Amino acid sequence: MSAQPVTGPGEEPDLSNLSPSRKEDFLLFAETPPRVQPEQLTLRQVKALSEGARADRARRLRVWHANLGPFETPQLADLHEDMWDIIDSNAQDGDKVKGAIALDAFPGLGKTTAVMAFARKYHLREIAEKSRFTPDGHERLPVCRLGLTGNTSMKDLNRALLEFYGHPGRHRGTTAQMGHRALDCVQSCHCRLLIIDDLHFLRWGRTNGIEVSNHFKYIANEFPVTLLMVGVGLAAKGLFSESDSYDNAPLAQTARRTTQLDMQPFRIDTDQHRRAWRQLLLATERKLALADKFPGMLADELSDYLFARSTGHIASLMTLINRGCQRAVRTGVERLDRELMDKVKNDVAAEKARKELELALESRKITTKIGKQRKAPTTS
Amino acid sequence: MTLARTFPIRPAPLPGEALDSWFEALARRLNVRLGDLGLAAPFKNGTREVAVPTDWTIALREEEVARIAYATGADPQQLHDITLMRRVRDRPAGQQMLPHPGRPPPPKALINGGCQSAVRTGAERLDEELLDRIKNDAASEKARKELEAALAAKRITTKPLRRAG
Repeated sequence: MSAQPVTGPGEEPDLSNLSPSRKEDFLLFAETPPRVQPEQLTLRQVKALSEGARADRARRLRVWHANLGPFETPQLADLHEDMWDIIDSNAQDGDKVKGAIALDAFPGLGKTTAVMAFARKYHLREIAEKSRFTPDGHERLPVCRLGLTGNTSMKDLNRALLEFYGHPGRHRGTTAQMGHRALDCVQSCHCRLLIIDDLHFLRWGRTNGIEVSNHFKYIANEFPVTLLMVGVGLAAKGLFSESDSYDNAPLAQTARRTTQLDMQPFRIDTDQHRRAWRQLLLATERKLALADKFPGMLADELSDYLFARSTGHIASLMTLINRGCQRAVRTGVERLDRELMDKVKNDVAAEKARKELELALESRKITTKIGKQRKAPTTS
Repeated sequence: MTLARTFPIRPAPLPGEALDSWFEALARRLNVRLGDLGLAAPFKNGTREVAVPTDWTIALREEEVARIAYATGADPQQLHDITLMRRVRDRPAGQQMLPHPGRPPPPKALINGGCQSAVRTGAERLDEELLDRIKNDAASEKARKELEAALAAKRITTKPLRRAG
């Protein structure tokens, strides 16, 4: 078992058709080395390219600009530190209850990106420290990731677990049999981090929801696994509600064992926050492979503009920059400016919040510019 | 050929264990039916060359070995070695046990049981004395007496009188 992408010589593996809900794809995601940044050409060099070479460059840039991240933003770095603290403190013996993590934040802040980046680091560390196979000769899969669907039942959940592991019993069996097989996989493959993405899909009020949440708790209690739940509005949904009534007692127990982490959007209310925003733009800028880019293209020229259009949400920012770069390469402009970016559509939420921010920025009520203590940019 | 996905849990064959025994053990460990392993399925379908007997516990084709080795992480050579073919191959020349084309395969349970016993006891060969101790299915045991009498009286024989073709 190893990540073996099917590629020709010198080609980068095609990661566009992956689903991290299968171990093979997760391994490919985790173990493929980072892409190599395409060569920086000048406009003149681009013009001198032959037809074929230009098409080839365009193809490379398409993939490159669509996969710029993840960036080590302060939010991501803090989150990872917290996660390392919790997961490493869970190295206690198997009979002790393990603390769980709930990453509860609004959409568009890079939750899944941050969690997958962490999963990657954790997987690589565990495989490097131990080995690819457990002492019993089974596949070592320290991370298991599940995405929930709209109406996940116990059976669906267990089937999803079996599907991740590629267990031959994933197609047939009763709920109990599937549960047994799934837990066997979790234990035999030495799973240490169980990621449940989109937990907000679970309907807590329904029998299914309670059953599934109890099942998570059971897994966390019975196996040496750190549960990492990712979702939107988990607290509001009652994941951690404390109550004296017996109705909510099981949920209260979850609250006692779960550490809630969150991610914040970028803000521009203090110089420190503005500096973080600038660092992100500088880091992004360095990664762009446009022929006519120049230092400060994003961080100086477009700082306010990009903040207004993304409202400080990294997902919206990345969508915008990705689409802008695609357009810049396609049209041969090879740089990002206001004129081009104005033509690029962003997600609904960002477009909606944009007007208000733009007005405030124009009237100089707020700014992304750093004050007197502005320093030369350092690499992040 | 599309390869099946790899098994997460993969107990290796024990020393001397036969292929079908190991399959049963795999299915049991994975808590599935033998058919659900998805390993046995390809053996039952498709046309096979006459030279390779129909029972996969006797011999495996290369693509079957590749498929099983991929799914289970087992060593391909080891897979060849745990079929009955190895026992046959290791026998002295002239004592071929493989059926001739067109004839039914040897009694599987008997040969399999015999091989297990031969490995376990260290005899490492099949002879009448050892096979005598192996219990076969009831139907065979019932018909056995009559056949034995007929064979003893040389009324019938398993030896071909002359080579075909």
